[in-house]
Amino acid sequence: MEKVDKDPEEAPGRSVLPEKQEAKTRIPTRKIEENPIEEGTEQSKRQEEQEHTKRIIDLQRELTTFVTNIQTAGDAKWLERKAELEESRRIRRERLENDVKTSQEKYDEIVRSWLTLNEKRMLQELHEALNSHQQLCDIIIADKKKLINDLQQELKKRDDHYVKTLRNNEEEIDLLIERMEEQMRTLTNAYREQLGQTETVDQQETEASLAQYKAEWQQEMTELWDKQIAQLTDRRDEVKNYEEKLHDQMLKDADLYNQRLLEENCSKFKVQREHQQKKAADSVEKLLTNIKSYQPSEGKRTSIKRRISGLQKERQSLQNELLRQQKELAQKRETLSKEYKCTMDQYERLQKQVKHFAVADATKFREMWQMCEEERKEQVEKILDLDSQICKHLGVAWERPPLPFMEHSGPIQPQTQAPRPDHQGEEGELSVEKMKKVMELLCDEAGFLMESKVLQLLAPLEKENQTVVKQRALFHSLGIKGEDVPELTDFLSKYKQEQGEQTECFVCLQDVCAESSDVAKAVETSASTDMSSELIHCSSVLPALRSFLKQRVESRESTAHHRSTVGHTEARDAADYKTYWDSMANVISEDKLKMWDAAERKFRQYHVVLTNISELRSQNERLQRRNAELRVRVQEMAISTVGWSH
Amino acid sequence: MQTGWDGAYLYSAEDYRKMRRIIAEDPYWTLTTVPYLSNLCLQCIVNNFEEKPIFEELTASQKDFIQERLSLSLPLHLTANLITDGVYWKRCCKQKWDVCDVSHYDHSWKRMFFERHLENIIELFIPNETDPKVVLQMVPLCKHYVKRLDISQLLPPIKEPQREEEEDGSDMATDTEYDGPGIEHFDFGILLKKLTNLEELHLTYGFKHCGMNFEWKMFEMTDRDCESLAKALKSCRTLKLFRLHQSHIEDKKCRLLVKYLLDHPSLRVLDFSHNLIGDSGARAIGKLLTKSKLEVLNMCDNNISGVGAKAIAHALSKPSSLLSLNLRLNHLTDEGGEAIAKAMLKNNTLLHLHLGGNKMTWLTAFALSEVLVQNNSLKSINLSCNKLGEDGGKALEKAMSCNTSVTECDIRLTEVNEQSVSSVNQVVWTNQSLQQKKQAK
Repeated sequence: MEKVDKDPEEAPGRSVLPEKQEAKTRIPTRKIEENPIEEGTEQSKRQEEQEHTKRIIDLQRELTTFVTNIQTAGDAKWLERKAELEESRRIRRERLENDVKTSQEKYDEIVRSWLTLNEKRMLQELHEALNSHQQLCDIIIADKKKLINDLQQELKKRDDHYVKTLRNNEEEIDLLIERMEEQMRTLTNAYREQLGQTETVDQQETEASLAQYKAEWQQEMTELWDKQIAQLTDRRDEVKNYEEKLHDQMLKDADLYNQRLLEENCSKFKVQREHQQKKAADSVEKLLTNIKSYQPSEGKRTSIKRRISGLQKERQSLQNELLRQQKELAQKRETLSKEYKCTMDQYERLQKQVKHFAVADATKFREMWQMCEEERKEQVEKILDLDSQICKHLGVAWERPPLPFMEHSGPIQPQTQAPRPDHQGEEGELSVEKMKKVMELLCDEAGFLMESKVLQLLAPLEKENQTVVKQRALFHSLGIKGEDVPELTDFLSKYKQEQGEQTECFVCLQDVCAESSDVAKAVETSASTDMSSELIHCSSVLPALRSFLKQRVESRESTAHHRSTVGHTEARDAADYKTYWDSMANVISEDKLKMWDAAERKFRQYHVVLTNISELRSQNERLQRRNAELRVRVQEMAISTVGWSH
Repeated sequence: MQTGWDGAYLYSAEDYRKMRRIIAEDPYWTLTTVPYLSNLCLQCIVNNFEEKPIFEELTASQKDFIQERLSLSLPLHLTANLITDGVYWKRCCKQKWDVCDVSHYDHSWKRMFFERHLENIIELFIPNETDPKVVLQMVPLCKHYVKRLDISQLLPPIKEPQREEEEDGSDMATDTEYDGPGIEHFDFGILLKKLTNLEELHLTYGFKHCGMNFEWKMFEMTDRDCESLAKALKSCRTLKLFRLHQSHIEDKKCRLLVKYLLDHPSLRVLDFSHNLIGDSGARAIGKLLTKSKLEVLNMCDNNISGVGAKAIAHALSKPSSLLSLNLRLNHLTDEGGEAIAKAMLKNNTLLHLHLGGNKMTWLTAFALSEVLVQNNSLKSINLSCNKLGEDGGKALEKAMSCNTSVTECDIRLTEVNEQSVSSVNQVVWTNQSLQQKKQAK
């Protein structure tokens, strides 16, 4: 049990040591390489390290011996014990051998005594011999017993001893373990310490070297910088020098260049002048020769011809183009005029329709009116009848009130318009000559309306044509159609007669028309017409024309009004209608109405009284009937009582 | 307008609250804990591993995932050759044993599991009771992973009462009368030749926790055991280390074992410590030393005396591969010591020699001092607990002053003068530093 192997706890120590040693031997060599300067300090450091390693090795040795001491002690004890055991074994063996010998002797004696016993015949002797024999046997047994006891005791002792040694061994093992642990602890502590030291040393060294390197680096850097700065300044100076030189050179070069340029220009001008002179001379010569032989060359002529033909062609094409465009325009105009006609037709058709509708509406209106009027009249008759009855009932004399509207029938006609001039009748009267004259007059008077250009264009034409063109232009500007021409002549002829009566009107018209230049000029034209014709005064032509125009406008408006038919006239005469219908409604007067009301009230009262009377009568009748019944009963009762009494 | 806006606001607020409530109800609800589909698949594989083991096809990370989650109760025949060394076996080990030092098993949890599992089976094997199939079933599962077997107990068969009476408490029980056919221990013959990777075998024929039923017979091997073991050792061609300790091996058994180990191709370390081997056993071992390539021999705490030591010394004097010899706590006496010292004069391979506790005197010290002067291969020598005396110490001191190879010299408790001890130590230390410098170079 105590023979714990020594190797396991020694092995780590052994294995760790070389590593440590190695590390230590390596570190200083590195340091020597790094820092050859600080040899003095290095040596002291190496010494220190050696001391450290020595200390650690000593520690290891001491501790291992400390641990293994127990083992060797254990071995020694085991040896001792073994020897002891062997000694005791030997003693025991000897004792056993002795015992065997003695017991053998005694046994032999017993056997011998057995032989003697067989010889002896005497009882007494036999008895004695037996006794002695028994004694011998007892002695042997006692010896054996003693031996057994001794051995047992020894066994017990041995057992105790064994237990004790076991306990000792246990203690020793505990101690061993404890020491091993302690060794481990101390060693680890020592290693840790050393590690810390080496670390700090290493750190210091690295710091120192770092600082040194830094210083060196800085020094070198400053040197380098200084050098570079010096070089830079040198270079700058050089650059300045070169710049100055360059500047000088540039100036020189510029001067030179300018001089050269001047010279060259001079020569160039000279050459040019010469050249021009030569050219002039040449051209003069040429001209002279040309004059001498002024015959255009064939080539030139053909070229000119060609040009002419080209131009002709161009003209032709342009003309074609023109024709084509004219045609197109004519076509367009035709289509447009057609369209215009169509639309005009449509317009007329629409107007006719409108007229037709207006007439239809008017007839309808009339019918409606008559129907309503008849109804009203019947009602009035009825009311009057009723009134007469009531009056009769009341005993009042009744008179038929005057009823003028009862004779009237059909709608009230609005004021009839001024009769329109009948063109158809007058047309025949108007001679063509007169019309012509009027036209001419108009044209002369209203010439200012024409544009000067047109007049210029017309100047070469004959007078008739001139008037026709002028007339058209005028009519166009005044908005008068060809159909209105006879009307206009008629108007103008009549105007003179009216003029005397309507001077005021004329003045005011003139005032109004002064604003419009067109109309003012029209007055002049009308005046001019007057001059040429007997009918109309020259000066009154314009106002006449103006009034004519105004009338036309009015007539147009009125026709437009006509188209909207009776609706408008009705609206205008709403008041008339009202009075008409009101007169119908007010056949019965207010007093009469009041009287009616009073009569109604009285009749009602009377009715109530009458109903009461009728009720009372019915009641009375009922009561009478009852009375009769009761009487019958009484009679019956009387009869019955008589019967009973009997 | 106003009411409508209010309504909308309330509605949205309610929604927000609802959402928050869902999260608050489940404290573990986060998006991150929603498992991935791949994880779910792997979990499914884990759950159905017994019916459909899928492992080889997976990637390394998936294997890790599965190893983390596999049930530890899966049958070994399924997992042994399928699941590689890793977390799963670590979990198995931690579940089975409290103390798990994986550094003793090359940092392989699988090896640890199978070795310890097999050891447990063997240690709890009761001959004639347990079916050998229990062990044999394990062989195909663990033969690739078991490199070392450290068996600390072998149970004896259950005895009949009459046999009990016949035994007595003799500690020198060399009798053969008890070696009946029925009482042998576990037969290694069936196991060792099948473990194709076994390199180390530590055996002790002992019985833990025997209590008041103590009998010496429990702590020794029978002849039949010995024979079967020897044959098994011969059949195990990969064995490098064989250690049979505290098993009451005496000469006869030792001879038998050595006989079978003579031509073993790979054995390098032999350890018969704490047995009862005497001189004839030592002779056999001497013969073994000359014939095999043994490098380490430990005969500590046996009964070898001068005669046996002479036999071993004879083997040492011939060229051998032995590097370390341990004869601690024997009875070599001066006779053996001198013989070994003489042999050491011719030997230059041995590095470690332990002769502690052998009743040697100054005579051996003188002989060894000669060795120390001449021999330059010996690195450590242990002479503790011998009665070398002052003269022996002085002789050693003198010899050590000429020596440069010995880095360990133990002469404690040898009645040597302290001065010489310190001088010897000095020499040893200088030698150590020299050695270290050599190594450093």
